[in-house]
This record gives sequence, structure tokens and C-alpha cells, in this order.
Amino acid sequence: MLSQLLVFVIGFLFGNLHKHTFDPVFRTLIALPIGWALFGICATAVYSVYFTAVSQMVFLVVLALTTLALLFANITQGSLSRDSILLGGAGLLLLTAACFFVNLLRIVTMAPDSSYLARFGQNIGLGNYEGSRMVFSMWGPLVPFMHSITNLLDQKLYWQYQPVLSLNLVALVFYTLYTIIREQKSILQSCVAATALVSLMALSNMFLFSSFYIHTNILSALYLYLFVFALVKMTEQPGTAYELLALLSLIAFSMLRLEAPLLAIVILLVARLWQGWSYINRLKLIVPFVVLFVAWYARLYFLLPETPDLLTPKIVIEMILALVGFGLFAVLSGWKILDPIVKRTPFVTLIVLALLGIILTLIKPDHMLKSLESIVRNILVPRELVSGDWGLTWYVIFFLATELYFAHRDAAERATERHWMFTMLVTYLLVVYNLAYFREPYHTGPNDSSNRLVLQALPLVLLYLSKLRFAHF
Amino acid sequence: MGAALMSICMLPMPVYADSPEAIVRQMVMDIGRLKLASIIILIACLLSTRLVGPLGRKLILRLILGLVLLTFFALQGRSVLYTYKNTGLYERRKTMALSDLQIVDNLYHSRLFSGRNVLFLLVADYMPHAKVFLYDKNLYSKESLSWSGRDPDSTFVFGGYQSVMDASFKVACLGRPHIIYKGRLNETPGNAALYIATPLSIYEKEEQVFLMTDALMDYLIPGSWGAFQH
Repeated sequence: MLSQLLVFVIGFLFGNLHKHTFDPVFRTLIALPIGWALFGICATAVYSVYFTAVSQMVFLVVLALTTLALLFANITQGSLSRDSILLGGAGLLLLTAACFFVNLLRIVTMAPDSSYLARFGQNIGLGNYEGSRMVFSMWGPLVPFMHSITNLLDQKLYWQYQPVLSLNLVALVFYTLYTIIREQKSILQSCVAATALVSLMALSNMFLFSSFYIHTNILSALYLYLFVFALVKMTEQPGTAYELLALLSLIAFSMLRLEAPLLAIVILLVARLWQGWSYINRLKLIVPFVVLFVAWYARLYFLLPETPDLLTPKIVIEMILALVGFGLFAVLSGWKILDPIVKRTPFVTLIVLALLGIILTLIKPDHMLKSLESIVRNILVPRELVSGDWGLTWYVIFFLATELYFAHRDAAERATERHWMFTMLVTYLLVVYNLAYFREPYHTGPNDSSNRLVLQALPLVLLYLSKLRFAHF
Repeated sequence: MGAALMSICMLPMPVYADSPEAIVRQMVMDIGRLKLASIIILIACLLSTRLVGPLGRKLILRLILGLVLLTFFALQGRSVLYTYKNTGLYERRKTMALSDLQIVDNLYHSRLFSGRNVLFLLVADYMPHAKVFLYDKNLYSKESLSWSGRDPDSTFVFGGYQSVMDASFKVACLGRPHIIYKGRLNETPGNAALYIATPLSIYEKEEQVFLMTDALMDYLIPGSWGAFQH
């Protein structure tokens, strides 16, 4: 619990620097995710340079210095007002209550992956290089780094962060949906609508299972949601606040799963950045992301064990090439000759992914069609254990989407934002489908990879729905 | 759209029913159970609202939405409650040690830590000081020996003891509380099941722990249980 409180303080101090952009509730809700993101970045930097038993001490010093720097920045900017301190205190109390609540529940759901994340993660904290490097060929470094602190806390298994962050995700999605719907409807109606939408997510067995599940699912959903939400807000409220939030969420999301940087690249290609954003601002988001991850993958190349799990040295090189290629495209996008392509980037991305899907299906028809069938059955068959365990969630979402779409169409509005969000959701699904080619086919069941990737995108679907027109209801 | 939804939901039908009569019977049951009929009716109602005026439409839409959400809350609530009451998924855990969750609660069965490979979890959680004697140098890969988090050179000792279980000692061991933890043989061939004494805390105060074997499986024997030929 103490570690979560410290992480919250770091995140809160960061958010408080932008108190004029982030409202108090939002500032409190993003404190924990931002804190963990900064924690992950510091840990990655330290362990990339220096991996021994002393690394944890060095890491703690870096974390303490980061906290002090943020505190100093708050004081010098005059952000640490009486209201902010009270708000931070209230946030800490709420977080403490949440920690006690999940401690009382003591529910942990697990799968084989959980044991790898926890055990190998604990070895990182011990500075055991040989004993931990297998995990880096399975997932990104963020969750293993979270488990690495168990050695300091004398705990055998660090699990509380998972349900606490799940509660954080539910609260964050509720609040953001509420604020968006509030622009169209009354307080009561917005509350009811946001509750109904969040319930679609929170009442599925798949989400409940993942709320207590030691894995990367909920964290991925949280950071992906924050990232896209920040992208949406960046165009509405220009300034460094949402830019930094987008960058931190992007980095944290990419530090969770092996395929996450690819998903991030595709989302960035589809996002409206290419038209509605200045060249410099675009680079401010993309260049740090590319540089950091090229450095991390270059380090990973030497860190991988002799018999890696999923991430082989070949895939590492391919990831580096993809990142460098994307970075170059972003840098060259300011070139006038490339303007026609840059303007059509979302469309081109969508077409390329669709064509790639068709080609991959033609190359491995059985493999890919089996994966497609599994994805559809996981979403639509509401039968436990032999499907994705979603119940009626997706049926109600389709129902709402259909009606809201018609309402939106009748209103004859053509909001680009909604358009790119829809394109983003379609491209996300296309990437999930195309990824099946490079692994064993997706299967049915709650623990299937495609089902987990769909879970990550669910809050975005709700965000998209909230952006549609509610006036007809 | 209703027909499409129904076809998708009926896809797994042949798995459960093998004759045409059984398929029809199963279909009827499933339609009732999954409330597909009501979903289809709702979609039909939704489409019909396109035919009425704006005021009437708003009212009908609200009614349909209310009905959809009520159905959703009722069914999902029931499903979650059923999972909570009838499965061990959301059970309150008595212990939060990784090896207890894997071995005692049998929550999951990981490929890298199955069968005798679960030893690394046990060493991490319950053998802070014990020397672990292994009967074969090639039993575990060099890298996996460091997965317990302890220094493999000072933790694991190869050979130097009588590793084959004799019949009487085996009977004595099987008479004590224990768990036989099986391996995932389809993914890790040759990974034998492992006899583990319970409660797992029994290993905590041991200074030596021995991995022994017979023709069927391996046994993780606390040093204090018997005399071994060193």
C-alpha cells in the first residue's frame, strides 16, 4: 500500500503542474496511472544501464529525486496551493480506503502468465539478471518492474495494485464519459448514461476476472484509454498538459505488451495528428517515443535469454526497424512533397492493413479463418468457458452503436474526431486479426490473446459511443 | 441481423448435440437461455421506430433502451452472482504466496513451473536458506536454476546422496500429508510429477532438501525426514 501511495504522490505532483488544464477530479484520477508510468520509465532507465543487486537502491534514489524535482517544480510554479494539498490529501485517503477494501476482499485471479510476471519480476528486484531476463521475451517491462518492488516490501506476491488500478480505470472511464455526455445532457441524465455505459464494461465476467487478474490486461486498457483520450483533448485544449499526458500514456502502454508499440504506431497513424496538428507538436510526441523504444529494444537484443519465449532477436530487429521507419516518416512528414500522402495517412493505413489481412488470409487460410472465428465467437457467444465470457455486453454495445449512429447521421454532423475514432477502432481490430498470422491461431476462451486485446479496446468503444449524439434519448 | 446473430450463436451446437432431433431441442433451449428471441424482437422494434414520428420515436426508444439495459443488468448480474457462488474464481485467498496459489489452490498450471519445475517457486517462497540436492545435473537447464531468485551455485548441489526411493520410505512419505503436482507432459515431455510435503511451510526450517525419484515421479523430501547417504 505504501508503494501505491508514493506512486500516487508522484503522479499527483505531475498532474498538479497542469492544474489549470486538468480539473481536480481528473487530476486525482490520473495520479496513480501517471505515477506508475513515471515509475516504469525510471525503472527501465536504471535497469537498462545497470542491472545488479544494487540497481533497486539506485532506482529508489532516482524515484526520490523525481519526486523532489516535481515537488520543487510545484513550489516554484506556485501550483501547490492550499486547495491542491487538500485535494492530494483527499486522493491519498481515497486510495488508502481502496487499498484496505481490496485487502479485505483478498481476491486474486491467475493464469500461468501471472506466475511468470510475479516470479521473474521479483528476481529483477533481487538484481538476478539470469533469473529474470526470460520475462522480457514474454511482455514489456512495466508489470515485471512493479513486481520487482516486492523484495523491498517483504511480500511474497504483490497483487493489490491490480484491483486498485481496475477501480481507477472504472472511475476514470465513468468520469470522462460523464464530462463528455454532460455537454449534451443534464447532470442526472449524464450520470445515468455514463453509469449505463460503464456497466457494459464492468458487469462482464471477462472484465471482473481481469480486475483481479495478475496480468497486463487492465493496465493496457487504462493506458490505451488515457492515450486516446489525451489525443482527443489535445485538439480541444492545446497545450503541454495533454501533450505530456498523451506521451506518458503512450510510453506506459508500449511498456506493457510486446505488440503494444505496433498498436501505438497504428493508432498514431490513424489519429488526426497528421492534419490537425503542427509539425513540431507531432514530433514532440513521436520522437521521444521512438527514441526511447529503439533504445529499449536495442538493450533487449542483448538482454534476451538463449532460449527466449516469444520475443526473439529477429523480432527485436524488426521492431526496431518498424520504430525507426515510423520515426523517419514522422520527421519527413513536414516535407511538402509528402503532403498528399501525409494527409491521407489514416486512409492509407486502413487500406494497407485490410489488404494485409486479405493477403495473410490467402497465405494461411485455415490458420487465419480459425482465428477470425475465435474472435467472433469470443465476442458474441455468451456461453461461459467456451467463449470470451462477455455475456450480453457486445450485443448491447452493438444495439447502442446502431441507434447512436443513426441519431448522429440524422443530425447531419460530420465530426472528424468521431470519424478518426471509428477508423482507429477498425484498424485496431485489423491489427489484432493480422497479428494472428505471426503466432498460433487465436482460440476461444476468456484467456485467449485476442480476447485480452479486445478487452483493452473496450473502454475506447465506450469513449466513442459517448462522443456520439445522445440527443435522441 | 437477428438471423446472423442467431447463426453465430448456434455455431457451437454440433458440439453438444449429435442427432437432428437433439440439435432442434438444443436450439430451442439455447434460444430461450440466451434470450436471443428477445434481442431479435428488440432489434425489430428499434427498426420500426424509424417509421414513427419524432416524439413517439423518442418515447419508444427510451422504452426499448430501458428494456435492453434491464435485461442486460439482470442477466449479467445473475451470471456474475453464479460465478461468485458456484466457482472458486472470486474466492477469498487464505495465502498470497505464489507457490501456495499454484500448488495448494491449484489456480493455474504454468508451462515453465509445472511438475518438478515448480521447485523454483517453492525455493523462492519456502526455502530461504536450504541447500537443495538434485540427483541429475541435466534435470534443469542452467538458466532455470536461477529462476528461484537465489544464487544457483550456493543453493543447488548435484548428487552425493542416495536418490532412489526405497519401498518402505515411499510408503512412509505417502502416508504423510502431501500433494502430487503433475507436469504438463504434452508441452514439456519428460517432466515428471512432483511429490510435495504439506503444509509447504514444512520446508521453511530445513537446511537440506532432497529431490528423490522412483520409476513414476520425483519426491521433494525434507532433510529432517530421514538419513541419506551423503
